[in-house]
Amino acid sequence: MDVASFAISIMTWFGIYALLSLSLNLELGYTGIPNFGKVAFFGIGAIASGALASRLMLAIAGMPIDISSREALFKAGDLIAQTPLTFPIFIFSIVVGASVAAVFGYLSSYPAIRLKADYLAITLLAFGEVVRIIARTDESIINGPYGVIGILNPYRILGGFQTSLLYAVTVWVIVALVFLFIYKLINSPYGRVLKAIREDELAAESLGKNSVKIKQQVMIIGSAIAGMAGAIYIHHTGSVQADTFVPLITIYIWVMVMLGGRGSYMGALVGSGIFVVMDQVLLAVATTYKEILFINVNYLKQIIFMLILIFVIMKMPHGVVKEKAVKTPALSLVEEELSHAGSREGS
Amino acid sequence: MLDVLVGGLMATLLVGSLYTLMALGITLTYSVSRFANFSHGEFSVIGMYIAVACFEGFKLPYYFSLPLSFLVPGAVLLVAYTFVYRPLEERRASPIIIVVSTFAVAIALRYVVYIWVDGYSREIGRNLLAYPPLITKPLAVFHGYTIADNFVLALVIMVALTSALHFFLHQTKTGRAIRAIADNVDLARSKGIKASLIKSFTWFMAGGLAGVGGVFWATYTTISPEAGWLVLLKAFAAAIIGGMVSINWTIAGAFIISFSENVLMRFVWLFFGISLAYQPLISFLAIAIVLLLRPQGLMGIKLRRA
Repeated sequence: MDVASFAISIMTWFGIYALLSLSLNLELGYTGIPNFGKVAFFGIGAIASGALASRLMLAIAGMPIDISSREALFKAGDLIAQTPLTFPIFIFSIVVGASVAAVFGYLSSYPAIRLKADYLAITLLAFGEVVRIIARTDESIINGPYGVIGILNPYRILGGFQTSLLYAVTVWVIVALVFLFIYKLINSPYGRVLKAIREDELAAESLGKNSVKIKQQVMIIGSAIAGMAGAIYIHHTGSVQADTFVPLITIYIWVMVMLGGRGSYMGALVGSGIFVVMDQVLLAVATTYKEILFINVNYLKQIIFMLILIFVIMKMPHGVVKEKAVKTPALSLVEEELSHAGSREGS
Repeated sequence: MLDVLVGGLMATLLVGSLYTLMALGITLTYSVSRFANFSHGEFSVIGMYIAVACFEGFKLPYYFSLPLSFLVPGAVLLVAYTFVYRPLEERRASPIIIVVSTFAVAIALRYVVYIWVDGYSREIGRNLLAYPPLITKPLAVFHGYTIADNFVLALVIMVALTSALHFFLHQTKTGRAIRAIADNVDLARSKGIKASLIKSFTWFMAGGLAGVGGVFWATYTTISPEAGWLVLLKAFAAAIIGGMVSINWTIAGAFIISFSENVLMRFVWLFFGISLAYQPLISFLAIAIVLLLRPQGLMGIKLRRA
């Protein structure tokens, strides 16, 4: 693989991880919901869009809807790749992934608003495993343990380099939109309410903020973003297998958010960037020194990531990018008022 | 039908015993430290692989590994507690942060186990990363079901260890100190109890119990370093039934989970045709039902505040 396509592949993964860490940061960093089941919503998005997009592809190609047949899926993919329908299928996939994940996010907000942090953590962790076990066992969703393959990249007709380049650009357009959305959300009075709930739920409620409703909304938004990332992921890899969605992914996202800095939208991006680069560097080292290293570098990689996480928790709990005060219109009005008052007093 | 029931009940006893051993550690550590230890499953995995190494390396029956399977996981958990969890605890970090650190320790340990097992597999030329249940010696046949030595040993050891624990917690000075710390750390300190020493001892015991549970798990089902998640899920389900503080209800919880998995699930499968692959969902259901209906656990006492 040449350098350019390598860089593009990294950018695509970076985009997917950035979406996931932005969504965890919204929940954990701003609202204080410790979502230990992030992989569940990523998985739900991927599984739902994989199940529906593959069936849609077969339906459009006029074939019997049987996702267990690899040949049929590949044939349908070849047929549809010739038509301009590929992009609408991709959009459909993202919408499906985001909305199904949002529904489950709403359902799981039920425990999220009631339980203490560590109880919530085990509930959501278990929920992630439930999603994986059901998807792996029930063959009617994504063909059980075999998964669905042949999911179409929206730019497949261009072929090779251009396909991956355009896909990476599309992913980053989506990341930019999500980032803008979160930026606007956080720097609005709503963002201040989120932080108030994180700091002291009781105090926020005493000021008339409905913390239950707001936590529900945050879970819905965060899960929708994670579901979107799931749909993007399957169109990138072309397949979806239930056993991809292990709790290890959740802890990766936690590494990114904790490393980048909780409660900082830039932190989420920086954290996922550092993670992706380190991941690739370690992989490159592994392939270069395959003969010298007697241990599997994939194992060593996990240990290094976890040691980094422990180090961050113990020595730099704020992460790389420190949390900044929100920039809301109300706050700047107050500051203006104060400076006016100050100048009046001075004169 | 009767045979299904008998087989299910026998499995309930064996599996319940090993869930008890695994879950007690979670309850013990939560009682003294007030945070959930998500790395608990890995100590059972270490116990499992010590048993495998004992069998593969020295050709000894699995139960010879029991002392080591108690000491090594206990020591490793003590190290993790001393260098990671305790500093965070003393800094009064939020429970979420400590939970994340236990999670990180879990994954790090898991991949240390991976590296060890991978190297060891290459050394003996046999893949240990997915290993069948360890060989047990059949002792008797009951209703068409073989009673093997792991069944008897697991029950005996479980009963012995839990009664020893009960005696220890209620009759000895150290045990009473542990309970005093679980009740109120500051008050216990003011009475001259060396809280940090007692806590460290509790964490060591928790790791040891998990390791012993792991040995019996290895005689019962296939072994892989990934078993940690499953152990964690089941141990937590049992501990949560006990509200994370009651030893007796944790034991009851372990048997409730085990009974649902081995008896109820088989009947659900017989009558409704629901696949046995959904078995792990029972633990999740138990966690969800208990936490959402009775967050204080089934025993009805209110959780003491940290």
